[in-house]
Amino acid sequence: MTSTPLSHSPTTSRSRWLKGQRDVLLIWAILVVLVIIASLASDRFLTPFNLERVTAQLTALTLVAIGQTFVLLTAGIDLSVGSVVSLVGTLMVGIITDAPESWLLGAVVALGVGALVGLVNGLAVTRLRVSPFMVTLATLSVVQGLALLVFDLQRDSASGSITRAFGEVFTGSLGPVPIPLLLIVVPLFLSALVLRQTPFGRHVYALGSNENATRLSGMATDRVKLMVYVISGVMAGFAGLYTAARTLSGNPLIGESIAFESITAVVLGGVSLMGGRGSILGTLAGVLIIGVLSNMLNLLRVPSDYQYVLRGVLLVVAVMLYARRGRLA
Amino acid sequence: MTSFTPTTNGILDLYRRSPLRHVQPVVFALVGMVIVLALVSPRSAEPANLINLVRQGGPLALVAIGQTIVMISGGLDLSVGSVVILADVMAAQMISGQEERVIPVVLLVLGIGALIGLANGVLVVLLRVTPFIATLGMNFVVFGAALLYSGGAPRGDIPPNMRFWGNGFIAEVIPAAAVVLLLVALVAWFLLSRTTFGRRLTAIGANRRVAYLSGVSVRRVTLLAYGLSGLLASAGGLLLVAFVGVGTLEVGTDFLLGSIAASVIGGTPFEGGKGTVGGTIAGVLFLMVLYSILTALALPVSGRRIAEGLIILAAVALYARART
Repeated sequence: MTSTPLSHSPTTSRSRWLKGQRDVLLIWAILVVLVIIASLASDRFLTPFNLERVTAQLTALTLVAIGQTFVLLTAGIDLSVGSVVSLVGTLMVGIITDAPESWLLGAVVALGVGALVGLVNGLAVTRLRVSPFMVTLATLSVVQGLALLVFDLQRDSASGSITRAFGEVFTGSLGPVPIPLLLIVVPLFLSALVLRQTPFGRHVYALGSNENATRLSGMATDRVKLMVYVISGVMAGFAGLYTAARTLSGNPLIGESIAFESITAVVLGGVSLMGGRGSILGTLAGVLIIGVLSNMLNLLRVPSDYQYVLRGVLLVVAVMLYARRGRLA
Repeated sequence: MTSFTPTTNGILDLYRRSPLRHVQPVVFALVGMVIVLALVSPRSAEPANLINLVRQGGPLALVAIGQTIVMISGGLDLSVGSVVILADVMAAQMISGQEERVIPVVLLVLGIGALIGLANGVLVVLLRVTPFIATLGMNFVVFGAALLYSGGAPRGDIPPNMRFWGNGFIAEVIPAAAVVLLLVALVAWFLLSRTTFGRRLTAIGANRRVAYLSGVSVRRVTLLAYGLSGLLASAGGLLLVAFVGVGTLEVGTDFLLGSIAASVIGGTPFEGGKGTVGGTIAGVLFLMVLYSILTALALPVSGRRIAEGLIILAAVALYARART
């Protein structure tokens, strides 16, 4: 993925570019095959209704996976994202009312809570020099506890659901385009832009490829690290806001599986846990593979038990393929 | 820990020169927790109730010892929660209250646990999948298998002769589960500190490359570490089902997070290269005392999660500071 502006001849630069894209091409090819299988296996798969449903189901995962991509690219990890989704959902129940002004407040709180958790993660990783896994495992626990606490407090004060009008803001459509689709495409585009076209994006890749070299060459590695955790937290907060709008409720356990799911998606998409390798385009393919696969199995009425098994096998096989390619290249 | 700065912190100096320096920090934390428990709820701190905590902590302690072995080698086992569940539902369903089935089923379940662990090891060692992904994938696969096997609703129960080892007492005071734990802990302690396996494991965790270059068979030792973790996780599931009496599908996250937390609180760094069985058991007991303090304070699940997270963070931060 390292596009060096100082390459000696255009041929090496192009072949290098192609080499970098091989993993992404492979994963998109797998996705295309999967889509063909799904449409052959069930004639309900390629219907607008079903595709819209898949999109709506994948929006939260996509948002979280984008943040997770930033973190994994720096060789970090964020296990706390699921708890953030849950906490934001429970908070929204208390904040969102019929008055549209409260919706703005809700959005600010959602993103703010996400940013705050991300900041705590980032500070702990950079200042305490503790491994990201342990830091975010700890915040996973704390934030999950807070979500349960908020939920318990709400149970005493009745209400418990979010007004339908708020849900329609996120689940309706803007002209012919469904809003969930916009919520996937716009953040994807922006994050790809940030990663490919800004100095910050290049620092993220550099940091993940070789932290020591990056620090020694004078980059503020700690600031970059802090930023990726804040980005991940904010995206999780956004996902929590969307999930609350879609379900019109605040379930304190709704995000439980999303951390590992997002890591699965990002890794399927070719981002290495060692950092420095992968792209947003790959992450999108990873998310879509998970979504199409589980949708297809649901349409075929395959019980969820097999889906767990399949997902595990898929994850391991994908990583094995990447590991093999890495060694050959 | 060997050098000390004479200018600062008189108490710390005193500690570093006293025989107490050989006691692991987690033991002080554990004693402190017991004192807090005694203050919060004198009844819970009575010897009989403290012994009871050992009984309740038995299953987690077995799993955590396995996790510690893998973590010492610099790895991680995210599949332990699912292995506990699979062992748990398989044992309940296959035994179905028949006393004569206990021994063959226990052996079978332990074998399956060891095989799952070895499969993790093969993925990590031979196929070069990172431990995180290999064991996360295995976690999905094994949980799916447990769901398939139980049909989503665990059936069967455990006969009295097996339940005794989970919740019975020897001579009416010593919990049978504590005896099981003690035996396993002794074997694990022997393996880690009195055999070449233990020394090689530590060497791999401290520096894989150097260990390899000094002739350690990194592959074989790592494989064995994951095998032991799978074996101990299934043993933990068996002890759990013997304690509860019926199968459950709900405990995976508690065992996964609990085993990592106990190892880290007990002094095994996430990066590996260090760690003791005694520290991990103290870590488990620390968690158990913490839970009963929170119960005494009538703090629900939310308080438990928050306290757990803060303590993990504090533990890793303190150990990180001690290292530098």
